[in-house]
Amino acid sequence: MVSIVFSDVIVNATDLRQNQKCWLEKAYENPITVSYGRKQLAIMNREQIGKLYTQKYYSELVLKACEEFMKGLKSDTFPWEEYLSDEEKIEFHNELLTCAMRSIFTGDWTQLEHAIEDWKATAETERSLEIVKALQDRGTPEQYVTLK
Amino acid sequence: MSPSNEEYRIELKERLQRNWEALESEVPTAIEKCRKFLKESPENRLKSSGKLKKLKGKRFKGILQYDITDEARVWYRVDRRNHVVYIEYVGHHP
Repeated sequence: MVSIVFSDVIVNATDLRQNQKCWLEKAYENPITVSYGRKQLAIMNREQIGKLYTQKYYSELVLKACEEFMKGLKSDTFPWEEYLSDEEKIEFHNELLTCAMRSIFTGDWTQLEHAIEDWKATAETERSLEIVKALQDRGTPEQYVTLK
Repeated sequence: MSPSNEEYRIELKERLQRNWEALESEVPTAIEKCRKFLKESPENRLKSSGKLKKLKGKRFKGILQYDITDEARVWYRVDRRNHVVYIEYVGHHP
């Protein structure tokens, strides 16, 4: 089975030159391909191509991280992951996939970026026993002073 | 209940006072910016310019981290009901 994931109109360079405005308006809505000789060049909306590149970047990042995790390899993608517990690693990867799937549909990758930043901060915090101990030790009210 | 626009009171573990004061001397502008953020919008990611992180996992539930500088951090939790920020640790990043 062959799925068509990219369809466009193909014009030659002469057509493009003669009806420039018309073709450029069309290219703003849907990609057009300009062919000259054996070469082909696509013209498309800059915002759309930006979104596609972002999607490609994050999709590859998440897939690579998940592949490393499934194969039990040390992560090259997120080297700080080694400081997370086994349970946290599972939670992190589940969140990565959930956020990535949501972002593919919405086009907004902020939530995924925040999840990665938050897990990185968590892993780095885990490196210091002193800080971990301080964070788990919720003080009594008498142990706090008001900051002026 | 406190009105939402009221400033947060900042409570610091007494034994961390020295760490806070050391940072006040080392990086006065950054620590003032941090204090302002904690007082005004301690949970607002947009206003933090990328300095706010929300720690994950069971162990750190409810703990937030603000990057004072590249090396210094403050870890805290927020009592929304009473408008209080409790600083659990402040100091240099591991």
